[in-house]
Amino acid sequence: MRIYAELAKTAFQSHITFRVNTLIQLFGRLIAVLIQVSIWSALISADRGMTTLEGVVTLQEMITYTLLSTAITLIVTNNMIGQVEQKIHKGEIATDLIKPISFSGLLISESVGISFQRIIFELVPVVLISSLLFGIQSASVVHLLLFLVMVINGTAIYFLISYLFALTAFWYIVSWHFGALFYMIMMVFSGSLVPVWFFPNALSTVAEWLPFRLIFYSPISVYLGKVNGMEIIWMIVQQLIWIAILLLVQKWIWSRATTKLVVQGG
Amino acid sequence: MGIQVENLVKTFRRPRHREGILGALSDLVYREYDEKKAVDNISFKIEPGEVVGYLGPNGAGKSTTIKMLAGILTPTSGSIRVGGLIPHTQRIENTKRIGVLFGQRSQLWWEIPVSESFQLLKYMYKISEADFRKRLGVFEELISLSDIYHLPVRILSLGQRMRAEMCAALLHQPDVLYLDEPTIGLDAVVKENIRNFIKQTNQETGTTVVLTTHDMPDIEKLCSRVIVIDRGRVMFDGNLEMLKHRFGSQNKLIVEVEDGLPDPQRLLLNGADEVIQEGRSSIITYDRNRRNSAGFLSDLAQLHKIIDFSVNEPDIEEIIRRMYKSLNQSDVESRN
Ligand SMILES: Nc1ncnc2c1ncn2[C@@H]1O[C@H](COP(=O)(O)OP(=O)(O)OP(=O)(O)O)[C@@H](O)[C@H]1O
Ligand SMILES: [Mg+2]
Repeated sequence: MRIYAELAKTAFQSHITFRVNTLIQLFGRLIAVLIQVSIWSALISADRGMTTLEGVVTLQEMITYTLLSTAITLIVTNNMIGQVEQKIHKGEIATDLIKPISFSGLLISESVGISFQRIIFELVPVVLISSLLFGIQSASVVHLLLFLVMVINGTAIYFLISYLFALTAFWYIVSWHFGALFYMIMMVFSGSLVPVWFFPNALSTVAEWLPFRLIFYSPISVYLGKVNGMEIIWMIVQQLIWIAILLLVQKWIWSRATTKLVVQGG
Repeated sequence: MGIQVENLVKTFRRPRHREGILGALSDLVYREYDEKKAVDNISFKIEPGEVVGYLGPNGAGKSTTIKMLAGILTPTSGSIRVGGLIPHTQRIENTKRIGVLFGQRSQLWWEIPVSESFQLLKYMYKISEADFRKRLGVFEELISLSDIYHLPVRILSLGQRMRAEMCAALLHQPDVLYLDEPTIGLDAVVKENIRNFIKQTNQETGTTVVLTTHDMPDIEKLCSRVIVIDRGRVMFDGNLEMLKHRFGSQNKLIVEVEDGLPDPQRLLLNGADEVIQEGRSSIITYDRNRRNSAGFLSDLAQLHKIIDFSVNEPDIEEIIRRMYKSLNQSDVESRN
């Protein structure tokens, strides 16, 4: 296990170089938050809120939702699909596979390292600045802790799903279109842009059966106090079930992927 | 640790691209594949501690074999055992006992110093601090790392990087070492250092070495045995002496005579295989099993005054070149 922590640390260090790049990204994130907040302000009446399937949602809650969703995005985002495609395309996968570590472990450790870098240099400033600008609703300690646990589980789900999409490169060499598909599905069904409260019935039923809402929508609802005790436990159980399923699927796909692998180049 | 390979086959499927826009469109709908047998029924057995040169012309299937031995590629059929393990199904177990170096690729981390890459390898292979220190000491003596030890890999020159890569491949003291073109692109001094390093490692730790190269001095210096493959098949498997005997019977006699150049036609009639005349000297190639230099010289002496002559036995490079050439010829013959 030590080696995976070391790999994460190395990835963290190699990405720590604080460049203009980071500042530009930070600026971009803030603009995106500003736009979303403006849209919700136009849609939701500041004093009466908006009536949904799940009851009334206030503007302050929606702003908080937007901030938390941005924060989760910064935690879970990873480039496994692009990385694996690159490794296969250039044949660099060969030098990964001669090492006594699991390929999933290698990719996930590196992604975790990079996420930590993003948490420090993007998440913290974005959340600080935008909560100063727009205000963020506070939560009870219990809800905050549950939120954190659920974000960690959600990150595991997100990483495992990206890893599965990344493995398609073993079959098709080129996998960016699978990546594009993944981001589309994720954006719609996770509730990262629009909470599931606002979904039409059919769509929310579909979302219910997919794991994506457990990454964004569910933890944020818990933070906002929209769900009660039993529901929270059920959500966490669902997260764990999805993690178990994805781990099994991952194992099965990997065993098939290795037989499909061609290493390009001498 | 020994290596056993039996009836190994690796077939690649390559998409066949049809020409033109219509072709590209029909590729989208229905893709046709060509099958390419990169490794075609190869068998061999390597004893622990052997240093084997795995040779063959470009595209012969050397790298493909090495990748299968290392457990990166799954064979299409046939079996591989490395110290009792099946590399592709027991990849992680297998990688703990092997070291691999691909000359054209880096297994070190690009952004961080060599020293930190080695630290990662130390955790990866669970090397104890004492062993780690000791081995670094040995490497320092054999190949000298201190000048590059604290530099990030991305700024190293090819030769510097290769020194670090060699050490990285040996840090966990593997039982088997696979080297795919370890001296490619290196200058004469670094090449010699790398060869010494491999030789010392083999002698001191009994590491089995399988090495592909297009550099003949590598073979002469290191390999007790060579396996030559072509188009995925084994063409020769034996020690260097046998190879020399089989393909190295062509000697070269270089003569200079006083009055111009001797008549090449007459030399060919006398049994020379080839006569090349450059400046004042004539290079006469002959098979030493059938003719000898004294025969040519006494015949020449009848018509000319000989100023100088020398006889060259073929070097390994020449032998391999002849061998590859004869592989091609036998192929042409079998096609006709
Ligand atoms: N991923 C791949 N897909 C399709 N064909 C491949 C692939 N990898 C190798 N080949 C083919 O297999 C054959 C053997 O390739 P290989 O790389 O093993 O040759 P090699 O003996 O290492 O040659 P070299 O001396 O040039 O390095 C070649 O004809 C090559 O085109
Ligand atoms: Mg090769």
